[in-house]
Amino acid sequence: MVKKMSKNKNFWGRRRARENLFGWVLLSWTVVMFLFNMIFVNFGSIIMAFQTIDKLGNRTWAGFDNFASFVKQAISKDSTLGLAVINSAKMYIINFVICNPLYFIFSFYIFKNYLGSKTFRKIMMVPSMVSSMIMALVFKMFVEGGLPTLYAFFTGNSAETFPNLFVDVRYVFGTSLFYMIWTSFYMALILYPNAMNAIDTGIFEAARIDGAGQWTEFWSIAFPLIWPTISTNLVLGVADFFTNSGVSVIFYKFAAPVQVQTVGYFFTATVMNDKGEQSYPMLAAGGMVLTAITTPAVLLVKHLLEKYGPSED
Amino acid sequence: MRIRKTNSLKGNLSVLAKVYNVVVFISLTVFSISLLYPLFWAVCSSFKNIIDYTIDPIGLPKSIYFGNYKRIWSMLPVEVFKQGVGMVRYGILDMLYNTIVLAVSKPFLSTTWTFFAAYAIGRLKVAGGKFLYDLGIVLMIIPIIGTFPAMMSLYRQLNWYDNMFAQIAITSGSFYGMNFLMFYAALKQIPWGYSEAAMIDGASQWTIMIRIIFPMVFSTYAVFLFLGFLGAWNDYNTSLIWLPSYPTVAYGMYIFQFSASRNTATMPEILSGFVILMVPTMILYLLIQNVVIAKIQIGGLKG
Repeated sequence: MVKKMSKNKNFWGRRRARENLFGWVLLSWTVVMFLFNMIFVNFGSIIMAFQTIDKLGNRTWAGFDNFASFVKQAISKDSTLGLAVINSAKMYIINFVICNPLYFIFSFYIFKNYLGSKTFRKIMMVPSMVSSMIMALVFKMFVEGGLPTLYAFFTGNSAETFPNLFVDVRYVFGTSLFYMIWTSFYMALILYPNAMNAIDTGIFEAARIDGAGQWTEFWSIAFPLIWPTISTNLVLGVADFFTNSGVSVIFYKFAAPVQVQTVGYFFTATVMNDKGEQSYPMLAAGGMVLTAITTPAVLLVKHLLEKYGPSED
Repeated sequence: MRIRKTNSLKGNLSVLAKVYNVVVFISLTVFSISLLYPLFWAVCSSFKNIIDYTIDPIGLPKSIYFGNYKRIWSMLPVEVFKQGVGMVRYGILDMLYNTIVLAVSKPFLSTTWTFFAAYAIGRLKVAGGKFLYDLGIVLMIIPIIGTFPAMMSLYRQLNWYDNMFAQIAITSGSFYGMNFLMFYAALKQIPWGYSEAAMIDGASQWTIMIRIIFPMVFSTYAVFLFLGFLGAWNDYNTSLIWLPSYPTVAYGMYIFQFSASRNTATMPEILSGFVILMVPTMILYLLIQNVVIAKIQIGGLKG
């Protein structure tokens, strides 16, 4: 009996060993890629942050000079990086903090299946069928080609008096911001109603029986129940604060005016425009500084939203 | 007795609620027009000749003109500087070839490796799998910024920059991200009894995974494959940053609209290029929506 039990134990042990071996063969490539892309590259980035690279590609120890240089530029309103930080902050505050509640208010209308909701739902799906690049380029061509004519039609002025919204520095930031809000709006009108559809309609019926009005349904039922979706969006926005390059790459490639650059765009454009890699160490140092700022910020925002946000109870 | 059909969600509305409804309805109508009109304008303008367009940029075409679509084929080719070779001209067919290679291989490898990872961690519960799962969740929340310069420098040193094989290989699959989580959730829902029964019948781990479990998550796999294909079809970023010598059709269109003044391309010609790029993805998207990919269960328990 003892022999039979130990034979069974050996069988299950061998089976488990075979499963583990098979599983690790399946995992092997993804783990290797993780080790390379996350560990090796990050390690290389940390080393690079403490180096300088000259025109011949020679690397020398630079101590904390790159960190100091990055911070100095980031807090200066006269530098491109400083302006990029301000632009990133403006885009986040306007798009996520101010506009997000508006997206939710409009989404509630669609969720309630009021007049035209089904048509609006179908229309919101149309941009999803077209790539984001094509949408952005069609928008750009329309603003440059069609909008001046519409302006002339409605105001009676000449189309040539209409400014080029992608070139005139007074309007470039507003144009990019408008585009970001415009695309965020239709994505929110898909995401939030779908999240609200998961709410049991019996809750609304019960509330109505108790005399609840539309505002109560909105604020006391729908909002708390999809709060996890809204708060996830807000947290991801914080994580994206310094990495989001917006649509500037599509509109301007790597030559966007400083008035429209965000921190994410600044990093991308600087790397692509600098073939000699001399600015790379400063960017690597900047990346470490920004990661050190963003990581606790993300965790803090997540904690605050969970603690002070509405509860399902 | 007639039973009145009511929308259980609507109820009776106060005056304020009615004002809200009117304001939101008007706003959504204006927004919908703003979404559709530029696309409609682009399609209409692509069928105008330059004289019609100059006279009336926003009206409907007076006659359907296909000349823009004919000329765009000769205007789209891009010239790229290739290290060691010089300026190289890539035609439409070259760009189409690059697009198809990337749009087929990258999603296939990425989706397959991600499925493997989800199977190993979620289903087989390999030693160390829980650690990898938790690590993946942390990586999704914690942003790591500023590794792009180091990555670019490293890829150049390893000759992985401007290398299509390397680019396809190094972006294949991960044990974190939305695709992984969805595979993980789908695989965990499948009862262990299927695998157990197959093991008793002497099936190998590979047989169980491919012939019994994989068909049950095939719908998820297929959707990710399709979405990956669509994404790669429209991807200009990879050619712009990592594969400058392998321009895709999307990259060609992206570059074309920047160099349009040099090519003396007109607005209708540029827009015809956009329409050419739009149509395949719209058709494919509609196919995904309309085709029901039924889950295939091959009766693993009954054999």
